[in-house]
Amino acid sequence: MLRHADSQAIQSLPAASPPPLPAWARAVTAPETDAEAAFFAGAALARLDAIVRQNPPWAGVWRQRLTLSAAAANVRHAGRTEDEAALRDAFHLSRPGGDPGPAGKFLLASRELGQRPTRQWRSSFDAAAGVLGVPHDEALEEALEAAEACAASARPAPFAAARAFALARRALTSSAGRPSAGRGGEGELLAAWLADAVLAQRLNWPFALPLLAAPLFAGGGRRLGGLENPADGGEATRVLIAYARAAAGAVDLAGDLARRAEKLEKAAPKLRAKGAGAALRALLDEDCLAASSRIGGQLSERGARRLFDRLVALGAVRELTGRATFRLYGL
Amino acid sequence: MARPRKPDGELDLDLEDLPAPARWREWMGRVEAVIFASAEPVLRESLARVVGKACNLDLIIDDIRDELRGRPYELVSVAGGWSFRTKLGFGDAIRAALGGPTRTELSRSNALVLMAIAYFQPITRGELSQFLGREVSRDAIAALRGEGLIAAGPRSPTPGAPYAYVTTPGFLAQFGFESLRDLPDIEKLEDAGLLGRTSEALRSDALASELRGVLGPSHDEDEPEEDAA
Repeated sequence: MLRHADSQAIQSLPAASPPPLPAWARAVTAPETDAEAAFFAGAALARLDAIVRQNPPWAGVWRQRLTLSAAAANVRHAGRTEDEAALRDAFHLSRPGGDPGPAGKFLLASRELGQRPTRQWRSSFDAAAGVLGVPHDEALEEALEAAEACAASARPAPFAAARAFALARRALTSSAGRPSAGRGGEGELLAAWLADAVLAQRLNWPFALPLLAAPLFAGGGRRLGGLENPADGGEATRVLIAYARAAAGAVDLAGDLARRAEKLEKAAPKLRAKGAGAALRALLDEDCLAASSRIGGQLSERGARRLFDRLVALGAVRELTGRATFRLYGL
Repeated sequence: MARPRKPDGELDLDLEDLPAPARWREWMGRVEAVIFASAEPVLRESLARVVGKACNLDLIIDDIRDELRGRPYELVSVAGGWSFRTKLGFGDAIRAALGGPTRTELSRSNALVLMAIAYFQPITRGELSQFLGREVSRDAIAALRGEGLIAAGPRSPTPGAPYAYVTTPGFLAQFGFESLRDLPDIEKLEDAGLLGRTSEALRSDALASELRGVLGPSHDEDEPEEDAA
């Protein structure tokens, strides 16, 4: 069978999708003590650690989907109503360097936070704070130093992250008059990310995953309770529970994306378009693509649209917006 | 006291040859001079370029503010930076001496458009027209853009791909806001779950009337003062 050279591009996929998280490692009821929460967090993080180290070809889209849900949780927590689809639109329909609006900025900052390797977490942090308009002042410096100290401490990784979250959150949200102050402010997003950066350093991951924000801020707007309401346990327990949930969610997402990537791989030999290989690689790297994304430079907009429509027909890619125009395609 | 430059022509930041109080005075002087000389709010990064690493900018700012107590102007933080502003009570005196404000004043209807954009950004001209119940002209948008108060944000995924408009840092500086969080009554809108749902809100009559209820009638006297003075 004649195969286009490009279609070889994603043949290096590992045959099996990552093993799912065993049922015993999922908290069915809310854990009551630190130790119970830490057990679930540890079990799920161990599985997650294996996936991160394997560095699967779909790691790019995986990380970006996690980033998207973290940003969406932050937007909700800030009292706005944009969902993931609206954030995608704001991001993809803005000009590069343009202002995507108040909600879009959360996604922009979250992407900024996840772009650089773990060891450059400080510069990622500066860039994200810049996007959110949080000045690099004493409070931010205090939060960064707290995170650094926590990353250097000898406590188990989730506990170090929980400590970093508590310290950074206090530093970033307490001083009145700052734009990041108060609940639901930008300070809480940055504190959650600092905790994730500490976790990644302690686990020696090449990249930090945005884990904490989504489960922690899922409670709703800044007036609707959320962080302040747990009847039992302190802040640390809450962070441990959030990590257990987030890691389990990330493992599930990884399994899902591995299956989708496999479908994409099966569809690859059926494609004849020039530049199809670059498009397939981009689909594994990006949350979603528009036909106008100019992938690889070889594919025209029209060509890309035809390619994506073919992939949708083959069941290898989904159209994510449900619109007839301004469509976005992703795994 | 202005310090001589270092022989290599670079500004001496750390000023290690000075005793601590004199060093502090020099840093305060530099920060105040930079803010004074700039027409736009000065960002922290710019100020960090004229003081030493050991210098706490927040304390410097506090000290300058202390010194200005009783003066007719003050150091305010706007749009993520700092700027000198004359105190509110002297507005009439300044206007009497110099005539009206040099910038063209926003008309009442343009101010209303600006307010709607500020609260519901990103929002397209069509959505604005629908929301305000009257056609918002391209001229009104162009006037606000010309003033540097709004800019084109993301395109809307609707026919014609119109731009949705967002406010600029210049808008924050003009109205003395540190961030959009400082908009009056924005929390009421958050509580009502109306932020970021403009298009849906417009589609549903119930939500649209709720919107108008929260913001008050557009021609009411208690509309926030939006003079561009």
